[in-house]
Amino acid sequence: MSDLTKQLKSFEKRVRLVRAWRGLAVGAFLGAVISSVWSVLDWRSVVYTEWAWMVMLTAAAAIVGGLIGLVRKIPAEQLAESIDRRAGLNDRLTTANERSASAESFDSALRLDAQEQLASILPKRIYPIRLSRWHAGALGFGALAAAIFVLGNTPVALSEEAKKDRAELKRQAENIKRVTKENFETPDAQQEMSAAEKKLADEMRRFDRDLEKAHLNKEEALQKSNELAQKADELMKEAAKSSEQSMAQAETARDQLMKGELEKAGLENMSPQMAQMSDGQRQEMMDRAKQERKNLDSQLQSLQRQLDEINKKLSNPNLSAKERSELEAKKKELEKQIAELNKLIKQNSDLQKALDLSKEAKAVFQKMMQDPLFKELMEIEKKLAQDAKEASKSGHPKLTDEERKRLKEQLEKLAAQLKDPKAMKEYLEALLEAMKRAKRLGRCNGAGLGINGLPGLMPAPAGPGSPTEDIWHGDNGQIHKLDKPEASRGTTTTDVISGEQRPASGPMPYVEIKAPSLVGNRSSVPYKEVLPSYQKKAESALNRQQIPKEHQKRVKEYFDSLTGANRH
Amino acid sequence: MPEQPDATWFCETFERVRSEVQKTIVGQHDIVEGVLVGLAASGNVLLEGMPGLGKTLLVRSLSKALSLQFSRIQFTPDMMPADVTGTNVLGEGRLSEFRRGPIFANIVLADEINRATPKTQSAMLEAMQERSVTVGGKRHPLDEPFLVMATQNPIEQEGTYPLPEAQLDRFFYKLIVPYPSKAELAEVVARTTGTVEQDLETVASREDVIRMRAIVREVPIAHPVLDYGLSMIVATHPEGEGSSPTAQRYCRYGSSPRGAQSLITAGKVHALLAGRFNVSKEDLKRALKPVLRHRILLNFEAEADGMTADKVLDEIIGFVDTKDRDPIKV
Repeated sequence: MSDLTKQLKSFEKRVRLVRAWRGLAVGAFLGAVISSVWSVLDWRSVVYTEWAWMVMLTAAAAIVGGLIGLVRKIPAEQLAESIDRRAGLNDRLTTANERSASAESFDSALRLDAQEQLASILPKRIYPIRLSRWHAGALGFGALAAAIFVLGNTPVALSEEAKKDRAELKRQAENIKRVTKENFETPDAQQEMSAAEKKLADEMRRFDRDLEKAHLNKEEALQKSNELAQKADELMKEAAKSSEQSMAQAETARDQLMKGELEKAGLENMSPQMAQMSDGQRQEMMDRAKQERKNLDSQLQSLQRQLDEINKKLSNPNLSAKERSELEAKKKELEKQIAELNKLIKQNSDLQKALDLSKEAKAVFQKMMQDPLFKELMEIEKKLAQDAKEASKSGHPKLTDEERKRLKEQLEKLAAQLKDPKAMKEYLEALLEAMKRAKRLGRCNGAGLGINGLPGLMPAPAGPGSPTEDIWHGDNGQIHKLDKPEASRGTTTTDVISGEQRPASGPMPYVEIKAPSLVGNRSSVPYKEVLPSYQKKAESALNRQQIPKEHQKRVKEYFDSLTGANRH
Repeated sequence: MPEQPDATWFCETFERVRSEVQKTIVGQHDIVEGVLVGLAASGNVLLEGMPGLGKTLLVRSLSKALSLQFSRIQFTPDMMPADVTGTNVLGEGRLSEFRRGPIFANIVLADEINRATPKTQSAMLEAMQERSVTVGGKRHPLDEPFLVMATQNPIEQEGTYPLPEAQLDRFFYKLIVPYPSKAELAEVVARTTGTVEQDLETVASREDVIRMRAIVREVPIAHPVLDYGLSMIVATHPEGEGSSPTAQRYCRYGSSPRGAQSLITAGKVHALLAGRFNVSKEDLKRALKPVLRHRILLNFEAEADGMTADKVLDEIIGFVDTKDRDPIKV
């Protein structure tokens, strides 16, 4: 390294320092300009910002600028030229640097001259650290950004009432923040959220920010919270629906598992439902079937008698043509009814046979139920099913997050113990899926409740009918499922659920099934809304041949009677 | 400041000659220096000024200070080219013999060159550039060092012919001789109307002049400086890349490559005179006007706007300076 190069090193260091100082200012200037724009947009509620973010942006830009200035390459020839200019060296350094390796007559004197000149110059004299336009610009724009931010976020010129409103909105923002965090920002939620949920979460975050910064007035906040609550409700409904579907799938998987067991025992045509009946239920069904058979037999005898009488009358040759044709029509009608009755009698005898066989099937299931693994899975399924039904009905899942977590862990533990891989695994997977959906339901419900919980925005509640839990936000098209809360606290009773009778006259093949009600309250959801999903489930069960052939028609007819498909 | 024998000798010799010349020439320091720069840079010098300003005296004084062969040609409208270059005459034994004209000298004073017709003026062309004269198909080299010092009266004066561009381009420098100040005039009067006459001594030899010229060529110039000089040359062109708005507006023709050569060489002389071993941008700026003022041809608009070549060159320096920035922004 030549002496001149060594001398230039100290200047290079100085230039780096000064460049870093300038880069810092340039970066800070750009950061401050962006922050100013940002604060304007924040004021106009286009984007959201915090003062700390703006400071961080400006500082980051300044640091980046400074670093760039510090590390940027400084070519020796440029440095020499720059020193020449600043120190008035009349291009001595430039020429000496260029001819550092040359040995012509003037070169050595030239280098010596340049070195002497350079030695008398202090780097800090020609490269002073001073405030430039960039620094002034950075300070100016920084102040501007701060001013805009402060003006947009401080209730400087507001009335007392407006200030109160602002304070209230800010308080509500805390609620929304908490709800969003609890429901959408947990590690599980981050992984499992659907696109719609993510969108809702984003909207809630934006709402929270707008409330926090009081970018909305009270009416707008109310409107927005209603919108969000409605969205959360819709999502919850959707989640409830999919949760129920998952449960149905789990049930199907379980039935399949059971069916497999029945097949192993040589009971291919036995449905798992029948096999699971209690002795009492079986006996009750058998008694009813026998009773029904008696009724059918007596009806048949009566019809047969009527038919015999008509035949007798028809054998009379003195009948007029009109009388004959009337009798013929009646005869035809009777024959039709007899045929129907015969059909029902056959079905009845099939049912009785099936009920007989179900005793054997039950033995198979009892054996199966002894398996602790299966028992546990059934238990989980029961809980999930109850939760899904509860959520679907009332809009509030029964299980807490903690309970769901526990169930999930239990399922995962069971998965590790599986011995009969295929059928059991399918069942387990279906339950896991149902679990996931149930979690989603919980999230949406939590969000919906959280948004609804902004009573501070509402006019003061007064008298009966005031918002208690979920109906503060006015009419948003929701169905208030728990409009009579006391009804949900009834004891478990047995209700009769039957298809809606069609107005057509004459005998109609339908069977009344007595089933226990869930929690003793009546459903206020119009059956037309839920019917399609149940019908679909029944059809899919039919398609999968889980229902004995002899009962399939009955099921189909039942749903047809409800939808009126056979009316025309 | 480090010592460099050649540079030191150059400066000393230059100063000696200058001092000697200044014994007879009162004031006109820039003119004297310009003429000496031309001498050191092997360039012909054109001196322009009103009659009686000491142009001829300057050249005569210079020739006295240097032990060089001097000849003076007083140009008149009836002068023929052969009167300058010489001619073949029949000598003894009826043999053709070349008789040398006044151009065959080391320093030729072409007095009032613009009074001669262009034909005679052009007779100087070959001598000034090629340092030789061709007569009757035979080339006759001129002695070194060779230097033409031409004087001319302002073109506006009656009975003058403007020098052709090709000939003007061959002048290294064009110096405008100004009127003396009152104090200088008093000194002139005192010196010339008294009884004491100044005798000039010879202070430098022919070899010294040749050595000076050789030393000048060794002065280095850095690329950025060269680039700066060439930018000034290009900026005089009315068209093309690097052309300045002033040149585009006022110039019909810009500088030739000879202008660039002259500028750099003049810069080298100025560098040595400033005690440096390198050419600086300031040296080039200093040499710009005498090098280029006769090499750029102004248009009618310049004349109408009262623009002179010097004014145009001032603007060109400004134009190039604005583009010449510190490469390190801090």
